[in-house]
Amino acid sequence: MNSIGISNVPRRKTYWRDVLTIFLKDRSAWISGFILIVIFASAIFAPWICSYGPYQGSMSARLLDIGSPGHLLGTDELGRDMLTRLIYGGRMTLLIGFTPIFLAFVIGTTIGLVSGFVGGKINTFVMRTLDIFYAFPSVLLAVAISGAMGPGIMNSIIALTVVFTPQIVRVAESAATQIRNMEYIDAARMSGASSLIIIRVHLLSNVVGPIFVYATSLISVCMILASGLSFLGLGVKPPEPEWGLMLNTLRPAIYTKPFLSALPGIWLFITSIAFNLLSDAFRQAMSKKS
Amino acid sequence: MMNNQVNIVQDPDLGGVNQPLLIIDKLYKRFPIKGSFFSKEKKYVHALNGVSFELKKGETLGIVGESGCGKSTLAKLISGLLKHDAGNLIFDGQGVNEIRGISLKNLKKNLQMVFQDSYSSLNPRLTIEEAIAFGPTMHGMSHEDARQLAIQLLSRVGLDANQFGNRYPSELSGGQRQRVNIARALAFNPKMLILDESVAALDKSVQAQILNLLIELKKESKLTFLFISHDLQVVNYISDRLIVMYLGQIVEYGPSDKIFEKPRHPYTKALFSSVPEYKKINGVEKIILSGDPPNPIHLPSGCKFRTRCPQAQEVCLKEPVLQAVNPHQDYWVACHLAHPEQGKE
Repeated sequence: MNSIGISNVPRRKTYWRDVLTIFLKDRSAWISGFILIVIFASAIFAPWICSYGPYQGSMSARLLDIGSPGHLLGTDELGRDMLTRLIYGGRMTLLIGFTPIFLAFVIGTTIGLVSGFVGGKINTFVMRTLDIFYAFPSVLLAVAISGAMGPGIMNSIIALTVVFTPQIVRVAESAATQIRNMEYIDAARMSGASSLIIIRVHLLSNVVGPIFVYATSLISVCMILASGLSFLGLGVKPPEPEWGLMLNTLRPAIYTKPFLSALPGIWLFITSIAFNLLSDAFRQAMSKKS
Repeated sequence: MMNNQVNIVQDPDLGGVNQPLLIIDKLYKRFPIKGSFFSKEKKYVHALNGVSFELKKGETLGIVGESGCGKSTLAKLISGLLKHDAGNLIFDGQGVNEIRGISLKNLKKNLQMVFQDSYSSLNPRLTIEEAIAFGPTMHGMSHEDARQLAIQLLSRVGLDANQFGNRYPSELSGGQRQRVNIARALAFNPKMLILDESVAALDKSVQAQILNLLIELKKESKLTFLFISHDLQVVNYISDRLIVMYLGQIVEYGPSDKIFEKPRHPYTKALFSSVPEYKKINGVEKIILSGDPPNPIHLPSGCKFRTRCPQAQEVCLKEPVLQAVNPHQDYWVACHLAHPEQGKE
């Protein structure tokens, strides 16, 4: 009965490697990945790419048009090179777009898995407590928290973490509750494994994928929210380059130089679309695999 | 009701050589039903209502009954995945619910279960080799030793480790997965294996292969089996003794060939008469039971089967006691009609 196999060579494949293989065949994954790599690399290596400094302005060259000689994307209201500031701005925007999601992913997955696995009254208590955060629109909650804690990068990162943690907890909890009732969890219990090991070996491996996809789709939301906080003066402070803040400071020029003042927004848009496409491709690869 | 079916476990001989591996004494289990938040009255599903039996070492005990009769609840209670409300459950001389810690871990090791759904009982993210090796590593075996053990066990259940070891459950057929499940249970070198509808989801030819594998394993390693199924033919094929359950109670308990030869309880008769082959051989008419099994929330008084029993009489309003019907004391029936003297006192 066991002669149906194709070859006797042991295959050393893991689930994630299979997912990656499918993922790499997706064209939108390649395009969005390329865009993100360019944005990331330029942000990291900004001092070596840019010919201007991010704070270096010139009173005589304010609000130059896109395509002006010497300034490929023009200059802002203080005569600083736009391209330079957009590249440098990526550093801050990506930092406050990523860090809260990463923190929320770690904290939220832990809380969600444990509470979903334990179940019962404890789970109800945790979930209903976190529902309080759902009562507020996320933008309002972020504004309220960072407003209460005062402006600053650290505070806006904390505020955004608080906003996104309950959402990830909810995804993790529902995944854990589903898997908790699977018979392989019963089998693991019968093997005498402790709950912690069951969560780590049997639960985490089965839920980390969907949670990860959800978290990557939140990165773009978080970046926009973070830029919104800067726009309102609650996040990054001038003259620090940051896309949301740049959008705010260029606001008065919207009638005279509409394209120029929309540039940080376009940058933000492209980056979030790239993140969304990437997480979409990842989700598709995982669903194809299973 | 509480004193029903007492006399099966007469004098549990704990620790002796002939001590039964598993003693179940007046086991009760009910599940609360979630009502609305404000409702005062708590309702329960009565899954097991005083079940008692013994399982000797090396014996294969079959449990049959229609769905909802408490077969799987019984399996989960024995395996320790659920806790019973009342009664005693003694495995290998130890009460399952009294012990904790290391000895509980060892007890679990000696009592393994093969589940019904071969797919959901294997973690889709672990290769089958990893799945089998997981248990032994929990008991302190090194990863390399556990891997070697997994390879041995795979070949013991008829799967080539080179070919299948690194595959995922989704890449195996149902029968192959069930073999993996058996190998995983065997990895603990258990004394007893509970098979909860383990072949129900497989087609007939694969079923036969798995059953033959189980019989082979039994011969090799003197395993004790508790075989739960709704398929009478399968149960007859594998078990030495048989329990017929109805609504959380044992209605008939005895050597399986004797029960198959001449069932005494009206429910067992009806159950067997529904098997085509059985009808042909024994020439019985199919007995069609009227109605559905009663709601396990509100159990009928007296004999639980009287609401559907074609032979129900006035005496059935009294609860029948599970009693021996033969001088050997190894065949027990809970029916007034099987013991005419019972209802008269």
